[in-house]
Amino acid sequence: MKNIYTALLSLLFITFSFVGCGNDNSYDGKNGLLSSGGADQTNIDSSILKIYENVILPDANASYEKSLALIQTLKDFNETKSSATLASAQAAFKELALSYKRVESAYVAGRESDEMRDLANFYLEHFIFNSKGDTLFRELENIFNGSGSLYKNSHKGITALEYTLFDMNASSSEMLAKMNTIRRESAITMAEAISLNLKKVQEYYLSESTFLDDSQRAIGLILNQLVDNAYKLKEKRIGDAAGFTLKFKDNPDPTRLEYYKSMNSLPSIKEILLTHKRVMQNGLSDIATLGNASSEAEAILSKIDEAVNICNSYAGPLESNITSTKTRELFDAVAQLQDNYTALINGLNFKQDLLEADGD
Amino acid sequence: MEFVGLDYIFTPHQRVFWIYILSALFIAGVYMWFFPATLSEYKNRKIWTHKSALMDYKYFVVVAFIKKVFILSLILSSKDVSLWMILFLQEQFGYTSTLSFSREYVMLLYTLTLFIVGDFTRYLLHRLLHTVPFLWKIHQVHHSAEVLNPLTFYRVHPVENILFGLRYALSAGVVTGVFIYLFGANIGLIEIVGANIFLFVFGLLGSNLRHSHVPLRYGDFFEKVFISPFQHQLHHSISFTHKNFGGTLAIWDLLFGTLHIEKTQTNIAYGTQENSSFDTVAQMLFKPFYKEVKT
Ligand SMILES: [Zn+2]
Ligand SMILES: [Zn+2]
Repeated sequence: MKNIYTALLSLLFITFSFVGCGNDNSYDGKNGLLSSGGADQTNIDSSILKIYENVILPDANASYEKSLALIQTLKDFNETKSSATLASAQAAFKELALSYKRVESAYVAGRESDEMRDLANFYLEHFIFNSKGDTLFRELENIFNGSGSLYKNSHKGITALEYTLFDMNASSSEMLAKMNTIRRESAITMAEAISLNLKKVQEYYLSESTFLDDSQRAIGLILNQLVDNAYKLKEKRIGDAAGFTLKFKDNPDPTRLEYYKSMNSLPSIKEILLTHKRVMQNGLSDIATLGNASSEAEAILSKIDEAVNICNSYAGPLESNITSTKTRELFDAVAQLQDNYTALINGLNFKQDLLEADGD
Repeated sequence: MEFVGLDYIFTPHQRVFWIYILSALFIAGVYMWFFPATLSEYKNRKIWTHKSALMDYKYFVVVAFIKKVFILSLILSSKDVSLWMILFLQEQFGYTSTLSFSREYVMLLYTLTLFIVGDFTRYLLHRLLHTVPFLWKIHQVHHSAEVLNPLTFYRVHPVENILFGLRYALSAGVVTGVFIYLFGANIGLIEIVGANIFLFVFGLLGSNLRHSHVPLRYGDFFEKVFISPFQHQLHHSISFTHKNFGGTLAIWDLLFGTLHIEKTQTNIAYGTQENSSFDTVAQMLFKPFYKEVKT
């Protein structure tokens, strides 16, 4: 009987040693990402930490700092009422807006917490979710005329503040003339509300976020965020205005751009793309390599570069070049970027592309 | 030939093969303790040194090489099928912001779906192997075994390997594609390995005993839900060759009228009615293509 067992055991041993090379389809038989302990897990943890420490947290801090600077310039403007101080307030707004694009692009907070999701969607900015409704602007005009008040959340977000401080076609003296007391004070109220909410984002990342608790979950969060952000970039920030989406097919209209009034749309698109690049370079590419998906990661990086190059090649602002052929190129590049993220998600899922080739 | 599989055995997070082996040995040992007739059958029929078993060993080595060198590169990968599926769904139904169910729930659902769909497609293909005349010639290589041992599992014609590989790539790819379309990266990366948790659990119940002379049964009720080792042994018997096509689940056989439940018996005659026999590895590989086999 012992002989049988020894024979059986050694046979099975041999069997399974062959199964290893028989069943792995072109991979090296390393552990799956999720099930792996040891070195891989340590590397994944440190990559996630890098994304958090080099991208998410500093971006949240910076946007809060920018909001404080903006409040100060608006207060200065409210005192001096000069076109110079208005110009510096406008510049501070643009900086804040770009800084917020960074926060928004990698906003895993919104995927961790419903409260934080609502904060971004219904308090901070209203472009993606409410589109640039004429309603908001009409309400704001009423407020500036003295026949309304800033009572809605949408009255106190970045979208409203942009409307308050800019009018693409107005000269600086015309704009200065528009800035009556109510409008100036409203701008301060808006900036303070934005700042408060950005502080909440900063505090959330510092003390409540569970991003670092479970790296596997964190990979899922950041990837879902990036693919979703790429989709919105393509669809809402480019496609709708250029007339490439089903909704606005062949009906381009630059006023649908995110920062039409401040003519800040192209820089913000670029800022989003560069944030994606920073996430990739600060850990996500390394994770992809660990997950046997480095070619997928490289495809993402080269698409980002391609899209950034297209942004850089515009002769003027997107607002006045929406029908340029470059816009189609940019749209296609970002569409491809979205697919490349999908491929990365898929690729990471198949680090071990097992093959069951045996019957019964 | 690298012995990559050795890693597997000692990697605690992997499919943990050594547990299968130990559980099979343990179950066999307990079984033989209570039913010594099984042990006698091993001695009397010379199960390990029978010429059919010797063929299994030789064939195993050759076919492992063939699989590695020729087949794996031919078969499309589930990764490609999955990506194709996601992009197809996005094109047809538009991009969806990924549904936000709890990750644990999604992973469980994914693992379960992968297992059930995988088991069903196994049943379908196995049944086709028995009903399509040419495929039956191919599949007779497996059924020609006159005695059973765990390596008989690999006594499968390369064409059958290709078909099973395609089946796997398609079913795992389609299921994964649908899940990524709906849930994005939430499905739990690399959980395709986790899918084997179900196979693992049922593996513990004696997957290595399917090709053995240990007639382990699960009882009348559970054999309508799960295929017991003895039910697969019946599938290898000359009398019930075209019954019990199931891999892990018996529900497909129950549903489609191919289930067979039988009282435990020893010394079953294994093989096919066609009495197909293969004397060399070359015959196993080439005979199905030229030799007229009675059907
Ligand atoms: Zn069998
Ligand atoms: Zn069969």
